[in-house]
Amino acid sequence: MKQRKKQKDKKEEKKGLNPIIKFCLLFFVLLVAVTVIYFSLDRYLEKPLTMLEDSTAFLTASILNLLGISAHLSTRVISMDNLSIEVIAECTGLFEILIFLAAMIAYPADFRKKLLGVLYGFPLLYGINIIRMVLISLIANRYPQSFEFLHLYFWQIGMILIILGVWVWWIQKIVKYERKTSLVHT
Amino acid sequence: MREKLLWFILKFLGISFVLFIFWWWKIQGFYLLFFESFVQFLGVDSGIPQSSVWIFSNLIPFASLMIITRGFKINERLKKLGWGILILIIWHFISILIFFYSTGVRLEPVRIIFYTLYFLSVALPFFLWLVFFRKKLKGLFALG
Repeated sequence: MKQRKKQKDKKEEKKGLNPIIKFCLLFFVLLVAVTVIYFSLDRYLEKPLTMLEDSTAFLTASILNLLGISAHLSTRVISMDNLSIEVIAECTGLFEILIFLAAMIAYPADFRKKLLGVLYGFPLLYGINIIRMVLISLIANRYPQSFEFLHLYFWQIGMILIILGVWVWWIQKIVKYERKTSLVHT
Repeated sequence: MREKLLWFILKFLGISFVLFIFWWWKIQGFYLLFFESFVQFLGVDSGIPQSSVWIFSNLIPFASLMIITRGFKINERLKKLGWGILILIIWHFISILIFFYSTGVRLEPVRIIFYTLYFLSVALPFFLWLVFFRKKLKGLFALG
């Protein structure tokens, strides 16, 4: 059985591209496509985007208040003792969600697993993003001069971490787990 | 990728933090100077558009991923790291050129190009890591 599988893999490798290179190429094309589609539909997405910004600002301010930091929310601006931050589209986790979506679609899995990835992955990404927002606010409120550094660190590292972490989690926990259990049942 | 995901993420956070401190403290300034001279060489007085400077820091997540992923000897790792950094520097040059010629142009396609570059700059370290470690990451893509 294993030998047959190996032979099949070798045949497939000979036939076409390495699956990782194939994934990268597809991921690249999808990223460009997602960006073009998103910005073409920009004017229709204004309302949901505002709602997303509002909810991100509200949740961040509420958690900060729960943690004992006095955070006042006015429209989308969170004001703390030493720092005020405005929540814009880039702060909502939407871009991470779009990149994750492209990575998930490019990965060779069936539609149902991709749908599960959307159901579990999107709230997870949103949640991680809120944690990132709270962390930046907490530290930068204490040390305002560190804001620029933290913003760049959490933005750049957070992006990669979110894409990589949630994407690998989705493969390990949803795609591979279901494959294993379906093999056990058959 | 047999290693536990959580441990991998923690290592990534730690190493990136240290590298980011170095980047912020010293390297970023030199890197900007290097690009300023490139822009001057092109005969432009206005310098690098501020909106484009953030893309340079994608060198850090790439370097962190290359450092923390197990399974390669130091020489091979350094070679791949060098190639990756070279590719990212070339990417920075191309991005700067695109940013430079599109700054101030208020056209919809320019905005789309700007955000496409943004997404690709974020994803590029991830692409390079996947390509360089493709043999080690085969398990992640094994079907069936």
